[in-house]
Amino acid sequence: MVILITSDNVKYVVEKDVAELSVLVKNMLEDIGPSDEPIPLHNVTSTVFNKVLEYCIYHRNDPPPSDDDEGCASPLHKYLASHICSEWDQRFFDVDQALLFDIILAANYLDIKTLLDDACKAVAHLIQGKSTEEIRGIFNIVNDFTPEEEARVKKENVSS
Amino acid sequence: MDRPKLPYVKRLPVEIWSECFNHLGMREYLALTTTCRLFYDLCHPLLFKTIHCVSKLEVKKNHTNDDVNQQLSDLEARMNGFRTISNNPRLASLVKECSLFYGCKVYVHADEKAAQAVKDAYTPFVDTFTSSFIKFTNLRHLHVEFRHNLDRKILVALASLPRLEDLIFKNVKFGVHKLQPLIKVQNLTIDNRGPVDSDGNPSAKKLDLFSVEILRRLNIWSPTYASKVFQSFCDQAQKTTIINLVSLDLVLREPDVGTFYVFLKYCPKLTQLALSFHKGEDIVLDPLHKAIIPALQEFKGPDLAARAFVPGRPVWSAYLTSDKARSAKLEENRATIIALSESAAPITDLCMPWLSEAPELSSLISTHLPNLKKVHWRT
Repeated sequence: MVILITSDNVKYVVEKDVAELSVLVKNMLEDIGPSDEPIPLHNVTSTVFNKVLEYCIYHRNDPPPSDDDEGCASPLHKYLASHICSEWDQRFFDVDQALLFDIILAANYLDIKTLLDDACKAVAHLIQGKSTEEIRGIFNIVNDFTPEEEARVKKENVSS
Repeated sequence: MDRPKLPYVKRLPVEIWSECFNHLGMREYLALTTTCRLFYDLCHPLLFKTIHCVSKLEVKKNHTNDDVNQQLSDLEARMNGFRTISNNPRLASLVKECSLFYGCKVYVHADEKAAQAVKDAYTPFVDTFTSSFIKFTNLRHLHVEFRHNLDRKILVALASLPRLEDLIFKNVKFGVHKLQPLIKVQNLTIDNRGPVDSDGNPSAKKLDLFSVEILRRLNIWSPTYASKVFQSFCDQAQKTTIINLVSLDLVLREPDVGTFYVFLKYCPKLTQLALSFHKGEDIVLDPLHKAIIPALQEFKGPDLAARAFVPGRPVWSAYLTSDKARSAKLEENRATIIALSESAAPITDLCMPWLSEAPELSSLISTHLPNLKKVHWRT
């Protein structure tokens, strides 16, 4: 078992194989060697970590992601990999945007590649099929183009 | 995370936004480039990553001149866009993928003048494409679908590209069969699996268009051209060994088996072989000497072909198909499983989709293939 402490001082006792889905935690465990010392997770709150843990427990037996699948994956496999999430994953990411972004930041900090990839797909899903105005609305984006820039961008887009 | 709430756009690092955008398509990139400066910077390169050069004209019996003129002016506008990008070095360097489509359909009783006008649009279209796409200095992937004998000018332009990785032909007809210099590409696909697989030059025995020098993957789903390509590669192999080809996927016709077997003699590095029989008709293949394709590791195809190609080679993965009548016969299955057991490496990954309907095979498999780690019921 591994003891992890979130930034708001909540202690978690987690099975080692689950904790080690985080490359950050895995490296820390290797660095400190056998020890009961709790590992601090400075950038993750318990609210977010609850979600991260839920994901890691569900996906603990998945095969590890491959860094170099360019050579062997068919275009169909790549398409499926980038477009299809399981029903469980869809439900898991059906959260408010603030939490979704926090999950992404936590996955990035903890270095959990599969969670980061899946969360990025969830963000992409929010954008899919949306217009410029709709995307601005979803992410509270302020239009920071000058009128000249905006006109140039629109003109460029016509030729693509 | 106790920190001030930033606007969403700034909360995520740029590289994570990029990762998110990788899962989107052209339509979203267009929308994203006009939302804000950051998204413009990230999506602008993606927007020009893939461009299309399309001429799809048709003249039906009831088409008026206005209808045809509209098609031609739309084509002209698209070609202008294509030229604009290619003439702008900044935009041209962003293009990584390009697709070329040409189709022209003139129906019977169509207006003659209109028919001539769409036919006349062919040469300017090809000229614009060939003069423009060679300016895409970072072009890696090209997809060609051409409902006309593939123009020599296009082939010549292709041969001038230095760094093409993927070249995919779909529903193409090659009239020109000889080219110098040859087209150099890492991954070549000729996909004529649709209704069109016609020969633009039946008297030619070889399709001398492609160099085998840097070829890594060859997908040739065209009974018309497979044998001609193999013949060309066999000739090239007389001068240089085929050292880069690792993957071959083909549709095989019985008359082409001889050429195919000769070609395999020149493929010492082939590790993946996938094949299907033309029109699903069985071909009984002679066992292949084990000194040929000695590096084969993965096989996908009919059980009859597995019996010929797996024994004596280090195959660990076998994805099999079978004829319905044959797969129901225990003796046929036994012959296949015994052939698999003669792999030089133990088979660890097996797919026999009909296994679920033949539980009696389980004991046969566990006896002959004791090292299996994965069994798939579906391809």
